[in-house]
Amino acid sequence: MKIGIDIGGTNTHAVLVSSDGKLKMVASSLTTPDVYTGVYRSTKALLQKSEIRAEEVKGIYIGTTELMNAVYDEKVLAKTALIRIARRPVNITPALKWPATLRRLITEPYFIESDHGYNKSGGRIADFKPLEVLYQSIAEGKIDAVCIVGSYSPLYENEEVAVKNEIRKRFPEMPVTVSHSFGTLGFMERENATLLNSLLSRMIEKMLANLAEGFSSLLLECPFWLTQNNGSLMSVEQAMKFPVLTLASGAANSLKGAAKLSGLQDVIAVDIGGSKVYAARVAGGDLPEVMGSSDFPGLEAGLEMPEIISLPFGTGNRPVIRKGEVELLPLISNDIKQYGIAWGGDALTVSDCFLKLFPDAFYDPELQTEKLKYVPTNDCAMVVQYVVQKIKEILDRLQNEEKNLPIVLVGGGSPLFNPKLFGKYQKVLNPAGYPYSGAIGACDATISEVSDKVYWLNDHSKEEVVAEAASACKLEAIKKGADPDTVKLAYIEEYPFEYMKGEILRIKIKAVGEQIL
Amino acid sequence: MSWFIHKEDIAYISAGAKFLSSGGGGDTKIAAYLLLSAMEEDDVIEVKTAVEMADEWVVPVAAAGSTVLMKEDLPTGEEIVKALKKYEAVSGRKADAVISMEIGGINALTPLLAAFKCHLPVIDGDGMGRSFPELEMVHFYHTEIPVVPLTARSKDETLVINEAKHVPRTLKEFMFQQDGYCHFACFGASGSRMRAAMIPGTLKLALEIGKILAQNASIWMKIKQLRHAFFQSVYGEMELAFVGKIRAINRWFEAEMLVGTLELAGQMEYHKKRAKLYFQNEFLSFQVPDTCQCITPDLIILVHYETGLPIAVSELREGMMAMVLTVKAPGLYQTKKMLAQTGPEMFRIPNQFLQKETAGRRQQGENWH
Repeated sequence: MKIGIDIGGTNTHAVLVSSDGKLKMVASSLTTPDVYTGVYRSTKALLQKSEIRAEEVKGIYIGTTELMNAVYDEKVLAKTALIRIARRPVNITPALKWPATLRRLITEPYFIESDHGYNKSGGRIADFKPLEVLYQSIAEGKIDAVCIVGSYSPLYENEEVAVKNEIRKRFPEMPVTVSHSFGTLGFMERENATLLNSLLSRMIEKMLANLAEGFSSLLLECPFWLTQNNGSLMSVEQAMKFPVLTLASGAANSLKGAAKLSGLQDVIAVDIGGSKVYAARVAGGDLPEVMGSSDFPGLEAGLEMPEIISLPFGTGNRPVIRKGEVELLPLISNDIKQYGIAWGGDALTVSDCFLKLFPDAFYDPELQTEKLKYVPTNDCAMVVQYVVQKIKEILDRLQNEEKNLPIVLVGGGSPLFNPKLFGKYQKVLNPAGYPYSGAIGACDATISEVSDKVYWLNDHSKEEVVAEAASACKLEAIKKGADPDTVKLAYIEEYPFEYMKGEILRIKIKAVGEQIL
Repeated sequence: MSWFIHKEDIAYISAGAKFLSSGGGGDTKIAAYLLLSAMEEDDVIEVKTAVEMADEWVVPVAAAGSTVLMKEDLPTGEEIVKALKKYEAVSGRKADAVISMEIGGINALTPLLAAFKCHLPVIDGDGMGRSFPELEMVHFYHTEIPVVPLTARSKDETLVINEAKHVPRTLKEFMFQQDGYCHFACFGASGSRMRAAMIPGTLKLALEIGKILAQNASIWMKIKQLRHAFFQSVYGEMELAFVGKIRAINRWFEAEMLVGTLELAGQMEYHKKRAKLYFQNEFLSFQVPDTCQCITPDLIILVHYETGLPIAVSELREGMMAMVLTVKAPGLYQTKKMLAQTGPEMFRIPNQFLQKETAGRRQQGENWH
């Protein structure tokens, strides 16, 4: 038995899945500001309803959008010291395009001189003196996390490692993120990814400690994992080091879970939530990956992200019609039942508009659809048309050329969308279990290892270098707990460098395997 | 009339320069961020236009080399100042203004950085009207303005070249022995001479394009405004040539160059049609069988369908919905000499990407708006 947990903005869902992948039981609870209480309540309910013994559970799999929300909440973020290692001082303001609330948390960069070049590996760092001021600040409790970014670190990581060791020698507990962990070339984008990771380090530490405590008080002694942006698992230790890699996991799980629920491998999955809509094309049960993400406008972090399109509204937004144009105002609270007209509140929501037109869209004993009788039908029709149009535009982008991929709607708001709204030629599914797709998707995660490094060929052939990198990557996946019999390479990508005559090569490899439980 | 660039204009110029780069031209972000980090809110850069140019000494400046390496080993912003100072020392004349060699991409902003740091005005114009990969493709190279002396600066060293015939090779060697890229100054000339050699008004055009693209308006409104902006410029007309989804991107190595092709599967009124593009650093050839085609030196610009923001060759991804815009190159690039330098033969564009009867020139088809 496995437990999958999806910590969303409104609800925390928990599901029990048998070892052969069958959905056995579901439970939900409102998400709480401390995260932990919501997880505790839903898991407890799940165990009680299913009447299984805690020791039958072999693993817990968690996906969440909470860290994504935390990015915009400075109270939970870590005060971060930035150390730059380069041949000359970098004259670009760190996090230049980020909101001031985030930028305020980052120190003036400490600069350490390096002598790495693209064609020469530097020696040892000559002078650690600039760090003495930093040690002072750390000792005074002004710094929660340290972020180290060295130019050319994806080629030569020794300088970043040396600086990290200097800090850890003095402050063994200090969370330190080094930029070469994020692989890709491009100083600014890598720095942004590393900074984001450092900022989240305090929050993840607390969250993981709370979760561990909660599970053990439910007598669940099995290990638990977090799911990553790319749909694979990370251990608690890894999650502690790389929280930024879990940022998009909530949405990714739900979209993968949609395919799983529909029993199909290739679909367009749409998750309709209270405050956001996510959509993606699922191919072979998996999400394609891209660099960067539309979900971090302006953060410019060089991170591998699943290819997900999002819309900045959901069924909890409040529509107004001005000069014949529909405008969607933000939610009043994460729980639509607190304010939606159909739930006895007094604010018109997108959900209300759908319910006015389709009163039988879903069954909820708390619904009081008769309250909608004073809401003008025309206005509701306009709102519904507007929302459906926005979603159809995304579907058009995701649809293949034959336009024959089925559309799977999941998420709390999905039953509101009558399939007819999408046109009679589209195949639209809203599978049972739609609210739980995120938790189901989390259970389905694999173990993977991505290696993204730059290699000099020197005296070796390209094939030798690639083969060596590939077997190292597989070995890492096995070390993380993948079943050696199932480990295979998901892809090998080679990127030659312009003007470089193929002497230098970036090789990106991903190995994937099933988890041994 | 002279005008001023304010800090908030940098982002617009950056987007406009990327638009004019036809997919290449390096990463405008690097220079834009250096400027944004250096400028205070009320700082300005003075821009002088063609009508004001006379006896002042105008020095073109630029950066060149590998974008990947420049993005990793970031320039400090002082390199271009040092190259310019050295140029002044070698040529024995103080610069009165700087100008861009290449308005497409990062080199629209390189002179702004030099101008800001050295308190000089910048000229509204450039030497290409777009971006091209070689120094010999700058229009100045084919005028009476001498290319030497040329001064270049890496992070550690300065280079001076005095012999014209060695320029391209020596500059490249210097680049790759040093940081993989460098900043340089050359083609210094008096204002009146420069005025005749440059593509005028391109800095203002980049700013305007950036402002049009930044609006919260529909793509069709933006296209209309872009057409108008080009109509008022020294370029030929801008046309909307295709709308489609990017398919089948292929990239390979050929003679030390990254080369590639892609297909666009037509959408909307272009459905059932396919377009083919051929690119190196920049998009060089675009064609829809039997209807139209556009070939270097004319500009081929891929933009995002929703926003109109330009897509660089390095950002191409399958499944993206793109629009192809084409712009006829300015008259200075329509001469026999410049066509030989920047036309399809120079780039060795394979035959299947050229229609024989129209090779080198664009043929107007029915599907043009």
